[in-house]
Amino acid sequence: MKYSLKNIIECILLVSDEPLSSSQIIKIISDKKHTKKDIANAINELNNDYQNKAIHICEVASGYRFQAKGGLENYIHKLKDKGSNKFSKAFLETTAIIAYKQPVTRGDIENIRGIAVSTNTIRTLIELEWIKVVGHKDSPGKPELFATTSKFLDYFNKNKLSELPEISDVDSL
Amino acid sequence: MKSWALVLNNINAIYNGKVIQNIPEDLFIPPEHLRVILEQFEGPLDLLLYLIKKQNIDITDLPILPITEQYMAYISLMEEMHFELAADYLVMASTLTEIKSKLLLPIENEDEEEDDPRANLIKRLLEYQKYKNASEQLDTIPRNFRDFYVVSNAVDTKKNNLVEIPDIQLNQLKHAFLDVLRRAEISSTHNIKSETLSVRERMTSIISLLNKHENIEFSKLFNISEGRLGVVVTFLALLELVKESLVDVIQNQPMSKLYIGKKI
Repeated sequence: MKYSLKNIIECILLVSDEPLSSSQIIKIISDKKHTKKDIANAINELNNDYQNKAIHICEVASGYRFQAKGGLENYIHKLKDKGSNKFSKAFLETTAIIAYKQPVTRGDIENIRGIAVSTNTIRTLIELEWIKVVGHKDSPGKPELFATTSKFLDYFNKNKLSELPEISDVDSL
Repeated sequence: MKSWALVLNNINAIYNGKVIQNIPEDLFIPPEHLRVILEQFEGPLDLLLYLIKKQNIDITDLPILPITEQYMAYISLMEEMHFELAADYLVMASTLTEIKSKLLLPIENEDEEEDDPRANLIKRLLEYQKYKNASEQLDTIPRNFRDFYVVSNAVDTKKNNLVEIPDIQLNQLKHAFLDVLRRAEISSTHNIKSETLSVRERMTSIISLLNKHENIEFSKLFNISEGRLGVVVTFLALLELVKESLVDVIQNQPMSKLYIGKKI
């Protein structure tokens, strides 16, 4: 049986552990005929098919993935207990500084926060693959420069860094 | 104790849903509870911002003295509580004192417009507030498994949990199995049977062989089909024969083949 492009995309997105970009999908299908536009069209068609279903395809920084539609939280939480989904203030502040001021060194973060950055926070961020070392600053000690990854954006359901809420300078409190 | 009073005035205690502004003097607050309040600060800048906001102070005209006093009060409280005081808090304390002392010094040269000593601190406070806001915003962005849910097992699969499946050839498995069998054989219990092969008997058969052939290659004396026991018996027989000077063991050069010959 020959499967349509739509069927193949649906299948590989469901099987994949990670989001798939359109170029990855084209590579998997290994048919040069298909363009990124074809993929986008197929995904639109799929989402039409999924209109009356509880899941749909979303596009995030790393590519396309299936997500549950809203209103199913109760059931999903009963299924999987993921523990608390709260981040500590230290964790959030460090993440925010890296996200908005990247690439930054540990020293930059400490300057802004006025307190030492815990090794744990950085380690957790690296283990989550939310941040990575993108280089070294040309200053004494050659400190590592951190930047966020596409996984970070995936987690927040974003495509680009510019989709993060804008921050403005603070003039008064 | 003065420091206590100062600090407590700045804390909104909530008891049974009511905000308590004036804490009764005889109220005993277990030290652990105050610690919780103090631990909420994310460093000296956070503490300063809290103090400034509490006082409704215009940050651009930061009154250093009251702020410094309150800051010091917090710090001494932290010390009293045996709170492990981060060095950063002390650095801020000295920065505040330095700013205050600079403000007190008369400006020697009126023309030389000196920067406001507070400027740098104010800049840092505002910069910190900016990222503090950003972090609060970040917290509200929909995130996986709180506000939306990714379909697929990706969420649960951590890389380090993945067990790499080793690449095994079928005959490696066979060898491993044979190895286990062999070890099982070694550790298995042995039934002691009466000796079916005697060393003496073997000695005789070797001598009779040597009567037919002038000499025999060492390895040819052994009959593998007799198994390990037979090999051992043959070897013992040979040793016995050598010991009794009945046979000669000949070797032409080191590492070459051994021959057994009849003693002439």
